[in-house]
Amino acid sequence: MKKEKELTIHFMPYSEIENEDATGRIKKILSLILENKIIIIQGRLKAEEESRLIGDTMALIGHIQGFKGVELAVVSSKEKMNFFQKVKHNVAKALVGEQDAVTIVGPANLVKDIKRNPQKLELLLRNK
Amino acid sequence: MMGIIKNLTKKFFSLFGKKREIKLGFYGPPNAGKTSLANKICQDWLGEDIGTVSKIPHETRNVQFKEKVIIEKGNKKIELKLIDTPGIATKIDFEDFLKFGMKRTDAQKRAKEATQGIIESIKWLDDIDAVIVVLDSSLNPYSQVNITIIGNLVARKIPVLIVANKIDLRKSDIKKVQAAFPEYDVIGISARTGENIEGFYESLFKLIKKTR
Repeated sequence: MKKEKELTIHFMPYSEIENEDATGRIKKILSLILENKIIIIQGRLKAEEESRLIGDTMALIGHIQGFKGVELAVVSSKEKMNFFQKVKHNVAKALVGEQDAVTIVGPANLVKDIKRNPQKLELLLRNK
Repeated sequence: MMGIIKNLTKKFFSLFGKKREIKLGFYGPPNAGKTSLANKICQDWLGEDIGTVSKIPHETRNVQFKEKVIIEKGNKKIELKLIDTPGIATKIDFEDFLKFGMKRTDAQKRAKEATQGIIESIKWLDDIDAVIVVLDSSLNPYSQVNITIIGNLVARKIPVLIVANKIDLRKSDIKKVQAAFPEYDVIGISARTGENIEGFYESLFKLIKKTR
């Protein structure tokens, strides 16, 4: 009998991480990644949080069996903005956080690659 | 607090015209040519290399330094401490190294060292004056690692120069790199052949000026 493959995509609204500090956000993301879930986050992490996510991911490789890291991509509307739109965007970002972006994080043993070019995302999954 | 003290120290030295050694970091994804470029600079001005290069990714797994690298152009002179960092990646799979004919134990060791190297690279972001982000111009520049590195440098107000390396390759596309990072200076070079290295040194002087 053919075994069915399961793929879970977890949607994380911005409100779920809004009140978390950097440690809490990264902990939340990595715990879902370790459950082999692909996460779609409304918004994006701060630059320093993204680098911390990479650092914490590296610290886990070799300590958790089969864990090879993550694939990560962000799509944001910011790149297509003119000067005034960017100012407006930055004011909104300061008030409510960067919510008009989408972040995708997936475990590298499941997601082979995320191609971003630049407004389109393609997820290449591994054949198991 | 440390950041304020660091900035005040910088301003003090620049006010009194004292020349200080600029800590210049080489950042980027694995196999983009960071060590090749750092070697080219070291060869041009010191006559020696900073590290070894290889086709196998993650050849540089420890941060490498070269101090007192003095670069001259006309009557201008800059003194640099070169900091060549391991390539930053979001995943490391030892099985990727097996494809290069490595033994399993060696591949596992390389993977372990590479993860530690990435952690070290990220830590060094806090102690650098200017950064050369080295990208392989024959590859898609829209990778999140590239965006994360540059985003971190901007957040820390560290001046950045993007080097689109490997322009000697047929698939090289500098315009694509420029389109991906329109707000930054991008210079195309080949660290391997030395193509446009003079243009690079000109851009380097402009970059260093931003630190003063």
